Amino acid sequence: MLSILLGDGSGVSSVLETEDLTKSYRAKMALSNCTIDVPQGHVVGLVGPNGSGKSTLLNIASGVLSPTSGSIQVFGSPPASSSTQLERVSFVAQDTPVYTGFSVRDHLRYGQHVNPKWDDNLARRRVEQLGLDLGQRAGKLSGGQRAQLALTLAIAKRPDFLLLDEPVASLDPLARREFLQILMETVADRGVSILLSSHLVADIERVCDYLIVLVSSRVQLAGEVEDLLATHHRLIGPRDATPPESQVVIESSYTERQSTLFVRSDGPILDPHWTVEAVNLEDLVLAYMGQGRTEREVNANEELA
Amino acid sequence: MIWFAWRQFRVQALIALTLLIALGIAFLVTGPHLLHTYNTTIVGCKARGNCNDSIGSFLSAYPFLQNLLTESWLLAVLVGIFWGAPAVAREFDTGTYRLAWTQSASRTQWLTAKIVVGGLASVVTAGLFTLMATLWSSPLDRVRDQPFSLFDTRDIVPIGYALFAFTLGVAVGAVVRRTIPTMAVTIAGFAAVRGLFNFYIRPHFAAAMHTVFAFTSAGKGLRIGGNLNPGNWMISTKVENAAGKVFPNLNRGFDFQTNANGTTTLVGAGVCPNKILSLSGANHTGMSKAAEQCINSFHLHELISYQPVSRYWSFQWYELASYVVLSLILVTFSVWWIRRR
Repeated sequence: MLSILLGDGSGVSSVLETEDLTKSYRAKMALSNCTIDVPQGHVVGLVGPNGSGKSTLLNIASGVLSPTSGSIQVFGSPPASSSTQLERVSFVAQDTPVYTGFSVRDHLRYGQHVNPKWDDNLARRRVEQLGLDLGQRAGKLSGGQRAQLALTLAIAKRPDFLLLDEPVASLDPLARREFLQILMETVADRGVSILLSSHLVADIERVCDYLIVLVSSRVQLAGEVEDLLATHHRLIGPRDATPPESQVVIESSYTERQSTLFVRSDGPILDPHWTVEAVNLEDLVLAYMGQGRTEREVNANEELA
Repeated sequence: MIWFAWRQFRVQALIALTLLIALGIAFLVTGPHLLHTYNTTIVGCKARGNCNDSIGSFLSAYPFLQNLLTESWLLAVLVGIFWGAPAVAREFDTGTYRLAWTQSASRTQWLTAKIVVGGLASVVTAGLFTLMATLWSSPLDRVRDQPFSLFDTRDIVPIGYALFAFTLGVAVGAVVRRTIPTMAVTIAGFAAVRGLFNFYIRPHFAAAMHTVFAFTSAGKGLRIGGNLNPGNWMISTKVENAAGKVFPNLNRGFDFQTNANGTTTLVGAGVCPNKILSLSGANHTGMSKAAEQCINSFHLHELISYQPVSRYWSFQWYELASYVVLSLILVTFSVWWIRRR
């Protein structure tokens, strides 16, 4: 009996699972063969340069867009495939769209009409805290206020999974900090899983404990931040030293006398030629973005040849 | 959801209501006078012997309102481009479709609510408009007595046009996803379907009736045509001979031409068998016996296809039903298209 209850635990504990997920527009690849498995209860940061496929992945995960091929499951079933599925997922799309002709009050009323689990007290409390005027038309709000309104709608829906596409891109540093803080309070209160995209590592570093790096429509890296930081190192050694064995070199740079390697390693590094330095999230992201670029150049050269 | 769709639509609804009220006032102010003129100048004009004059001046009353009603197809176009086209396309323009599609209510419900609210508004607006237009112009239409000539501006068909234009705008918007191009395609599509119906489909709602008129000269000169009810809708007329040969170039006023060798040709028919002297092309009343003989020698008759005036109402219903069916097809398509995205 117990085994039945616990059975199939692997599928249930994933909030987002994709396999070979691909989206293409005519000749252009927006997302290629993306395979990830994100466990529940994380704040996932999705980073990558502009046009790397972050928005595409989020739009597919929210059910707004259909993939060209491959499969995607959110809580074990395809996005937007049922009303339960729609209830469990909230999406704050890029540029935080709201109805410009609607007042703030209209938006709350709209949220209440179309969401059975709507928490009106929460919504009204948040609007009050933010100092938004209920009668104000959304078209007259500042970028930060609009983003906050969009987030309020998304949170008051009481989702289990919250998707945000560059939510703080248009915000000033103070509003950005405030926005992320509210986001973190929500997770702490309700245990919501969050997938958040940004091209700024600083935002991700502040709030995320799981990282996905997308470069040129491909997943370069995915994993818990803690694990990633523990398994990546910067090695500094003499120019002529051979890299230690069982290391995967992600990035390397050389001066006349010194080599700097960015490596992934599961075990400890004991080679005395090399000094081992810890890395931070920004190093990690930049190293993998660099790798993605290099691969793209290699591919381009192969195509030319 | 209906609340949401109504909230989005209410400014447009208010504008329509304002225009309808303005038009209603114009009709209320002028309508009684129009009816009064009809009762005093047209009724009994036969006894007074001044029908031609009275009808002429009566039909030229309120030219602005009359022209407005003649161009009332514009109403459906306005509904199509200002209500139908933006309904879905604008949400793509502003990106709000991503907000709408990720609420607990499905995108099918979102689209259905828009179609129900906008479709109902189109039907009600067109219904009120055509009711007012038909009532106001009924004295004029009674005098004209040619209901088919104003077929698409009176009675129930304008309701079908408006509903069709609205659903066309929605469907095009779902595919094109940009408001301005959607408006353009909606106008073009509406015009194309209307043209198709007016020229190719409506004439065949029922098999046309035929009448044959012989060209005869019965002593008093030539008679052509006959006494068909002027309210009938002429579909086609052609002149042919007993063998069924059609004469498309024959002018019904009959033109004669003298040839170099002294013979005479009836233009569009052929060379006359007899000799015709002292021809004067313009002087038809004084057409000589010889000319009549020439015409009779071709054994011509005129074949007229027409829809009788008694079919007016059944045609109104057929046309309305056709446009309602087209609208339902467009709605089904829109829902299917939005769901598969």
